[in-house]
Amino acid sequence: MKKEVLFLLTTTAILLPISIAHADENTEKPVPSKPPPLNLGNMVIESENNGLAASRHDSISSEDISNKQSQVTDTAKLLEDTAGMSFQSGGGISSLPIIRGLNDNRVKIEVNGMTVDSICPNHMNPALASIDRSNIGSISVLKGITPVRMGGDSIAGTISVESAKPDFAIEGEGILIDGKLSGFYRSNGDAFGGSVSAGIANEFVRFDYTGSNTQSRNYKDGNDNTVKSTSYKNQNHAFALSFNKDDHLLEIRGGQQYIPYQDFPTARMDLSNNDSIFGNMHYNGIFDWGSVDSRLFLENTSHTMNFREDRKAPEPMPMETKGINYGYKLQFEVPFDQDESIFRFGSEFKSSGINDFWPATVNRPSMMGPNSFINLNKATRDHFGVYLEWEKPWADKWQTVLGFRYDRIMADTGDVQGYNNLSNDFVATDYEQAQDFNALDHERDFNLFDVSLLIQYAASDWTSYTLGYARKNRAPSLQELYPWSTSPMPMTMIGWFSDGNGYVGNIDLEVETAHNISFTTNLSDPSVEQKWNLEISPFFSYVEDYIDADLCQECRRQPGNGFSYLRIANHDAYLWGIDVTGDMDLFTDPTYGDFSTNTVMSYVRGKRTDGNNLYHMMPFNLKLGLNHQLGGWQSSFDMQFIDTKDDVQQLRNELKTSSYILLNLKTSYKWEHVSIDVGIDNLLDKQYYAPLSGVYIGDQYPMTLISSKANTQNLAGQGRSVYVGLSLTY
Amino acid sequence: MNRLKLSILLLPLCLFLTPVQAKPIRYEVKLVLIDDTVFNGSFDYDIDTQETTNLQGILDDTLMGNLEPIRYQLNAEPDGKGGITAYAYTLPTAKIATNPPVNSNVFVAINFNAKDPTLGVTDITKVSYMDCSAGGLMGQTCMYDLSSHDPVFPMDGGRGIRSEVITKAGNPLTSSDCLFNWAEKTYGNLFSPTQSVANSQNFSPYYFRFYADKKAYLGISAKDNHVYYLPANDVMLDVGHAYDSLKQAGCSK
Repeated sequence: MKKEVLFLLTTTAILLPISIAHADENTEKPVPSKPPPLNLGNMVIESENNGLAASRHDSISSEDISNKQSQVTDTAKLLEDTAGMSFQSGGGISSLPIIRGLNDNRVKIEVNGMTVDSICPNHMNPALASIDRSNIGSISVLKGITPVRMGGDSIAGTISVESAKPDFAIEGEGILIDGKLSGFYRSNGDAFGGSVSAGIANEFVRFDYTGSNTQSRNYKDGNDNTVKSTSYKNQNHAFALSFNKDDHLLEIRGGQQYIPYQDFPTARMDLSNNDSIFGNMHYNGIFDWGSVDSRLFLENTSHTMNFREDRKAPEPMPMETKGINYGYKLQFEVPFDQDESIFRFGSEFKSSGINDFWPATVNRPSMMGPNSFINLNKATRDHFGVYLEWEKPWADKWQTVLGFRYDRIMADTGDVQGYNNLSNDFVATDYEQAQDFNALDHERDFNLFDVSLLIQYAASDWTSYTLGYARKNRAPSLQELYPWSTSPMPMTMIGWFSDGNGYVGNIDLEVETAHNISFTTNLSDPSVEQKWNLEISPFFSYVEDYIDADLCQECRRQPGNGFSYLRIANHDAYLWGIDVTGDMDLFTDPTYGDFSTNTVMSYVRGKRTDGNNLYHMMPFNLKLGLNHQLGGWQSSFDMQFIDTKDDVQQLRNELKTSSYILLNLKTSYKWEHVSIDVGIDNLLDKQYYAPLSGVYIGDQYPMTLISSKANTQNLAGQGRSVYVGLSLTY
Repeated sequence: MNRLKLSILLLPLCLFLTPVQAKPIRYEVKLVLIDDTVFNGSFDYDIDTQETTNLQGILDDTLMGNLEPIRYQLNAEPDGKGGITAYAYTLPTAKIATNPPVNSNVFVAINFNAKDPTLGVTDITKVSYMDCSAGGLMGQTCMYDLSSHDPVFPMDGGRGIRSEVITKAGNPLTSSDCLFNWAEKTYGNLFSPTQSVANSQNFSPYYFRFYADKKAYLGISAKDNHVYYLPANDVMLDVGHAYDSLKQAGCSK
């Protein structure tokens, strides 16, 4: 019955706006005005929706993305120049974004409107890894005070990735054919890849295809040592069929991703296969009363983990995960009060399903047979949300955005089983633990109430202040709730923190509720040239029932080698910090070109109220860039400083890291249809350990934590890498 | 078997002529294998006869996290270096192998100085274990520490140090005497008059008590660690492996 209702809701979501579009297509439509973007160096801060800067977000433009394609393979790393963003290393294309110290599941990630959860018990297939950087048109980042229409079931913020908007032929000019071919090579790891995109359109219909392949061997660190389990290969194919009529746009997207391997130096396992497909329908229409935007999506993933060659494991350890995500999003936007105010309301639904099982490797009773180990048995997490948002300019200097949101999360899972049905006189076997788990009622429902308020005051033509408060909630994920075994081997295989520890879920977890406060001061050159800009954003978050971890009390023994068996648990916590961005034009000369500088600085600290540090807090970091442009020739010289990380979480045995400086050099030249990029990352071949990379365990195959080498080694960063890229557009 | 019966039949005479006064002593042993797997157990050892019986205990397979009972001592032999190596198994068979695994068996081998077990090992390479139980079997590979095997251990982990500590047990009552006491209480009609530890005697490979009223003997053979009962009719009965009787008597770990 529930599924029927969901189907009805889903169908209604996509058909309703289309039917409205049909009914109103001959009526007069207003064209919403949009102010020009404010250029901040290599980032574009755009005002959104009639220019109310109170809902301002960081946005990475298609040009920025294109400029980084030779340098970056991991989609998440496109955001590394955004203040407040940091990354937990995973595989070569699967790092996990962290916003102001809040990570992973706490960040809502939308890819073309699809909210896709990582189904892997090690989070090897995060949402940002589901799209290749060559298929991205823009990325928006909303930190902390996310408007409710972009939030829901997240407390850190929202990252929204969109493919390029379709271009249609101009009426009377025939068929539009465009596309791009690009390729790159990076010396460190012999990484190479290429992508092709091609589109054909008339004034009403457009078809696009995008395909890409990237791969890399293991990279070397600054000491010229090979870092094992860092190779990867990734193939993507996507198409889009777009229809445009007046102010109505319908996009139908589909695609497939194939990752035959992606090794994980900070996990106990490697990704040995990942197949996913998606379908996505998007409608956007503008009417005389306002606009409507709707999405309908389906995503299906088959994911396999195992030990790969670098670990030299004596036995295989296959782990299979099947996942499905589907849902809708529906938003109405109604201007009123002489179009000065905007009223938004909408609804969304998403259903996630995970079947996580580890096939037997032998038919006899053993720790890997004769049964399949079932970690999550057809676990489901259904999320329904509704919201109201009101955006209002009160005077020339005051603007507000106020929103309320309700989300209901419904989670459940089926019965589980261990590898065998044996009991033991001395310890609770998986068979016995599974029986205990199966005797429980697994269904868990969570009700989330979000509030978001942004107030902006423009004190002068060069000064503005934004104060924001958001009460945001996140319900526990399936992987946080349901992994049930406290035996050493299953726990060792579960963990998405790059800390090498083993985890068991907690079916009694509570919702984590964040109270986010931020205050942003924006100072900018009031002149037309906009020669300088400075933005300072201190922030504070108090998180009730922050989902962290405790030492596993049911576990019979802790390894004593620097790794631990942990149980997911709630603790109150608080975080604070500051983000600073700025840029300035330094020198302009018609002969020598334009010189400018830009900087990004961030700092965050986080503690539990019991005094323990939170895990993976990014120490003070600063990026300073010197840029030059002369015609089609662009160059940049970046200095990145990362301070010592000594505020670490003892519970997870988090290792400290030393401070370091990296220097990067890049130059590119663009002709009309051809561009070439050449650069050197880590110019001085510095040996360094990124603070949030995690532990290096990619050279071993422990089935249990105690068989792991001692926890003493952070993952080393890449040594010097020279890269070259070539792009051809037509 | 005929030789065994003969020796049993001659036992009273031999005892009368040359009674052996030495007694086995109960020892406790803690073994730490190369992967930090731990065996905690006990055994009875007679320094004069250099006979080992009733090695049993619990193997804590640290790598895999399972605990396995070690019940059946099936062999004990000189190591050629002045020591004794004793082997005990979970199942009443010595058949066990890895890659491919044979049985769901587990074994532990301890080694000690024959003159005084508390002096420690004489050949550390004899100290070993193999866990092919369901909890210790990874695919086709058992967990083990075997110096004679290549590789010596199948999985990294632990401190890579073998160690063994043997101490005299706090409770000096040997498992054999514990069994004899229980038998006297439980089956008084077969074993009377009641004896004490002082009345236990040694006639290699037997450690036994003689019950004059019934003209019966109850003993444990160090040769196979079985319990033997010799009633007045001189037809000796092999009761079975000592572990099963010890467990019934509440004398096992």
